[in-house]
Amino acid sequence: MTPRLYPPWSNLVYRGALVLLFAGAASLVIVPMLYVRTPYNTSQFQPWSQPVEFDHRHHVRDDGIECLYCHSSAERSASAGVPPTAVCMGCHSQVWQQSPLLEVVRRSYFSGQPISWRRVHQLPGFVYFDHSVHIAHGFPCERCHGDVGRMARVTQVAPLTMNWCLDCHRDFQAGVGSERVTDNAWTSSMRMLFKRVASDRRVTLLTTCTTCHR
Amino acid sequence: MNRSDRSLPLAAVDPDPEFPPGVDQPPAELDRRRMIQLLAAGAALAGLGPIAGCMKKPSDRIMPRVDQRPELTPGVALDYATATVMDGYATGVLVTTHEARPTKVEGNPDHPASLGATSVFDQASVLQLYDPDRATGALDRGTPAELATLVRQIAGRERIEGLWFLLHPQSSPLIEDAIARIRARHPGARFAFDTPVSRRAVFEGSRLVFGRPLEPQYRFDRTDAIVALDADFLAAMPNAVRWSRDFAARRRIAAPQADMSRLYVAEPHPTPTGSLADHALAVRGSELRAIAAALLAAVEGRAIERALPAASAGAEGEGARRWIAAAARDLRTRRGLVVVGDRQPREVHALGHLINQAIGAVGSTVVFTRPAVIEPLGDDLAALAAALAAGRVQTLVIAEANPLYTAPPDLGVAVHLPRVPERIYADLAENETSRACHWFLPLAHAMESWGDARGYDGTVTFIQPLIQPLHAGITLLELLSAFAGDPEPDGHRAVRARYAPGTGDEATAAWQAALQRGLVTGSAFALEVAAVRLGDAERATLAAPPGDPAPGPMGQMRGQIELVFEPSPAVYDGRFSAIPWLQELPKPFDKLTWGNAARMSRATAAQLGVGDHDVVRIVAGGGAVTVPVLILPGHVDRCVSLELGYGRWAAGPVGDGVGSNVYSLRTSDRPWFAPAAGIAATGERHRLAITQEHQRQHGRQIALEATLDEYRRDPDFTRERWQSEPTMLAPQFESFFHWGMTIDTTICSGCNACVIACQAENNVPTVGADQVRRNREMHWLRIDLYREGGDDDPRFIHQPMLCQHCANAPCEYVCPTYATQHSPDGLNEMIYNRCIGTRFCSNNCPYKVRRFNWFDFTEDTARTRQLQYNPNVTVRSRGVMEKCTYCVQRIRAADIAARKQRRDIRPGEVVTACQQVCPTGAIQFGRLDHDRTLNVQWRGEHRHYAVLNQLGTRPSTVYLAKIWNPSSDLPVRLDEDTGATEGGAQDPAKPPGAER
Repeated sequence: MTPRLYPPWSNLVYRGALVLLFAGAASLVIVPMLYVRTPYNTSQFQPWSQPVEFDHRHHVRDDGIECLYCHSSAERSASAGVPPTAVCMGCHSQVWQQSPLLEVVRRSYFSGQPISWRRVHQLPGFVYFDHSVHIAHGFPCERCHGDVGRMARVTQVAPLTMNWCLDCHRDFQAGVGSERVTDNAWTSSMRMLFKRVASDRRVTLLTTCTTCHR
Repeated sequence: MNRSDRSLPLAAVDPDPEFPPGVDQPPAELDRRRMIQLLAAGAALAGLGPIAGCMKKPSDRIMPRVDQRPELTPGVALDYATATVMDGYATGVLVTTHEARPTKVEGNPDHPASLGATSVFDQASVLQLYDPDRATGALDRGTPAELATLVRQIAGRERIEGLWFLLHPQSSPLIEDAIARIRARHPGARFAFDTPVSRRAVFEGSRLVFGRPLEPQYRFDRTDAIVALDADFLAAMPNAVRWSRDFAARRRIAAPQADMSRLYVAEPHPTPTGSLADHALAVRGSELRAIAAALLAAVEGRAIERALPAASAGAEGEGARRWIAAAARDLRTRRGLVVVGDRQPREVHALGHLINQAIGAVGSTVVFTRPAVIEPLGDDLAALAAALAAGRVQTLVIAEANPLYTAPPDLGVAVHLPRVPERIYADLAENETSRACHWFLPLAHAMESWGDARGYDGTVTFIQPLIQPLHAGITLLELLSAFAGDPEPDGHRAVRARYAPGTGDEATAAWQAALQRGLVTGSAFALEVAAVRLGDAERATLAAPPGDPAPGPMGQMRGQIELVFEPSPAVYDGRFSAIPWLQELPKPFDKLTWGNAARMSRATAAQLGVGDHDVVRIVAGGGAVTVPVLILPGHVDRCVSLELGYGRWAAGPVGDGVGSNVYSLRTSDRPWFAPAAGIAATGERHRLAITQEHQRQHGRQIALEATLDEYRRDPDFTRERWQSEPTMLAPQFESFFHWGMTIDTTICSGCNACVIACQAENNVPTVGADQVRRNREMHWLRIDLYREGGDDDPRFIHQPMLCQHCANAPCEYVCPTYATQHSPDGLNEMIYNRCIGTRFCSNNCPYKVRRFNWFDFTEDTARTRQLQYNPNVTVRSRGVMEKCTYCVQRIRAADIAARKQRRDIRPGEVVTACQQVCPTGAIQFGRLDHDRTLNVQWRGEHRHYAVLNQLGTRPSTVYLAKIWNPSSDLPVRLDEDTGATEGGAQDPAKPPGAER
């Protein structure tokens, strides 16, 4: 009987190593795929600090200002738009005109230099998103942006991944709500547009690549 | 790589091989071992890629406007009506701006010189705006100076002695006013209006016949027989965009029984117009006078032999005599028209007028107006040169003109100009002449300026700014106003004062409406009564055969070689040298980019003992240049044509040293056609950057053609190329709607406007001459040129080739990452962020329309040029495949607009960039369920076909075969490629093993 070259547990080590090898190879693919979906990478829930301590809670809930008052191009354009300084000053030349919180706004208004806001909702590259068509189809702001009226600092609540977009583009009824979608009080019970949109034969186009990637 | 030339010496077995020798040999530089090493290294590096791709994006900034402008919505593009001006002639355009950045030029449908289309140069003008080498400020003897200070100094001066201006031709009424004011303030001020592509001969010709300079207004839409004498009226003449549309109206044939116009062209080298000619006659430029005289004799019923030089009486002149006889017969019997090109001397123009008079064309197919340009027969460069030589010029002001580069050497401008005591120069950028001047004043680009100009028919067109001047700049109008004494000239004020003097709300609203329209309605010139005022003696002198000019008799292989000059179809006279789009534009017939060549016929090249890419030294007019040879079938023998606009030395990094400067061969008395004192091979070679090196079909039926008779006999002659092929593939998803394009090759002149429009719309990069030589040009749309018939008398077919959006797309099956796939509405989609660059798709594409980003061309694009990018199209990076998308961004934008209004996309709502720009309207696009659109109607015509239909790709792009309308008086041209035109013939030229 030849002496054993390896102890009996070496089999176990060998099998374990094989498993680790394959798992490691698989994880080279899987881990990055998981990583890109983490809130850390998508900047989900990250409270950005902004040059002006703008509080949506006060403007939306206390003052009852509609989204479109400031983000006025959302109905007409791909971009919802951040309001020009002149829009802020429209009210704040009358109210709180001495407030130190508004110093940056006043400086911008009188110097002509724009305020450099930090982008909160940054779509991945290669995507062309159009606000106006979503609004026109009764897609409420809150569906993607969350209840901004309860946010001190606006954060991104949706992951903005492609799969998240496709959740609705494949089953678009999921998001459709009230006619007055820019209301602050959207409720999912007001689904008035279902049938009309569902019968649209061009629905098939919603998942083709060039709908968003051009 | 041992790549040889597209053409071999004549002694070779196959005179026109499809592939250069050595293409099937393994590459010499890279062996297998090295290749595998590189592959392994590449794979290892590729592993690092995903990690970089997964890095978190840095957070962006949003900078909203400070003020609120009701007309500006972020993300919504605005179109402004303005104009581009070339040598005085304005074309009305609509310029698209994104967030106040001009990005794309389209034609103004209301403007008579545009009708919605534009030329190559109009398209490229937006890139000129963003030229990074534009002047950023004024210079006083090379040191930076304050522009406003210099302008005030100018305005403060009075009665300047010996004041001369050298300007391009101008048509602006405001500039005309300013000139009158300058003459009042500085008595004796002289203005020379000149350009290297002068139209003086046109006006001298009409003055000779009618007693005053008149501008011919051709009515091609009412003409059935056109004879063009060296006239490229579809691409190179001032109103070419408009005339293309008019010409196509009578040329496009909707059904076999319909009628179409017939076109005769006599010219030295192929031009876009010549490539549509039913009968093209290759003659040397100086022989056209004899042709015109003979044509006049023929339409007047006299014998043509007496008008021709004696030496052409033999068999060699036979072709020309028959051509003249046939043309004269058509001119007499149909609604005829003779068009004479701008290069021809005044005598030929006069003869053209006499022929038109004789056939009754004057008043019907051609009418006359006064010229749009100011003082068409005033001082020119020669007059200025004489004053310079005589020392009479004390102060010289030059704007835009570049005489030290373009002036014929015999004028001595280069010698005398530096002796002028005070020299002031103004242009967009510094150049050859500005370096020799004391003051340099930066001009503002047209898109930064207020002004006006007249279109070819006199229509007053507004120029309005679309962007704040990128650099300090002054407009020509403002500069002239300063000389007229205005210390703070303001173009806007001048325009308002002339066109909208009122101040009330109503006046402002009317002014806004006029600006929106872009032109003054009804401001076209009234027609002039043109009566021939020519004495019999003068008439006889004109009609007599030329005595013995230096050029030899037509068609003969004797005498000196004649040089023909031509403004480049890409960079014109050199003023567009700094625009990379134009430098990389494949020219219509030789497909040459980045340079010019000595183009000649195969026989002439053989006689000189040179071939393609061989450098020759040409001596003429006191100068000498070295330039590579390019053989051009259809070129007249014993003649060499040379493009102006190359070989600049102070045009900036893009234009410097590209090609050869042939201005030094020109003389002032013979600017266009001159005998060469000598041509000899230097023994050197310079490999030209050519995008299409082979033009034969070898019987493969790629671009189809037929004569009108053949078409009437067998309307379905293209049947083999549209009948569906049996297939084993699963049927594709057939949607209820489907996008498709139809291209009529009968009216495609190959003018290249679509190529540049596509480049501008889709952020297509330029790659440089070296990459073009490696076949890595990026144009999504190219115009393939096919040549049928013999070398001496070829027929050209232009075939715009772009992604065919095949229903069974070969590229889609082979993509490992599904980066290219099919949309429900019939588009072949390309998704850049999925593409990993295997290039399988390009390999499998039979049309070879896919382009690969070998390098990060965008990174190499100057930052200012990046401002031109269309924000609605992804800018591709290295390692990504790209191709024509049918302008999917426009389709989806229309879809979004329609969805918002709860309606379907309307017929004609989506217009692709190439369709929009096409001067003849040869490209139609739309959804196939929109029955009433031209696109769908054209597809139903008998002569439609699909390229490479036999492969079963089922393309969405359909072509209409080119129909010729030859005269029965002339022999049918011989066909070298048998089977190319006949539907059922087998192709004998097919190499064994090719296809299937």
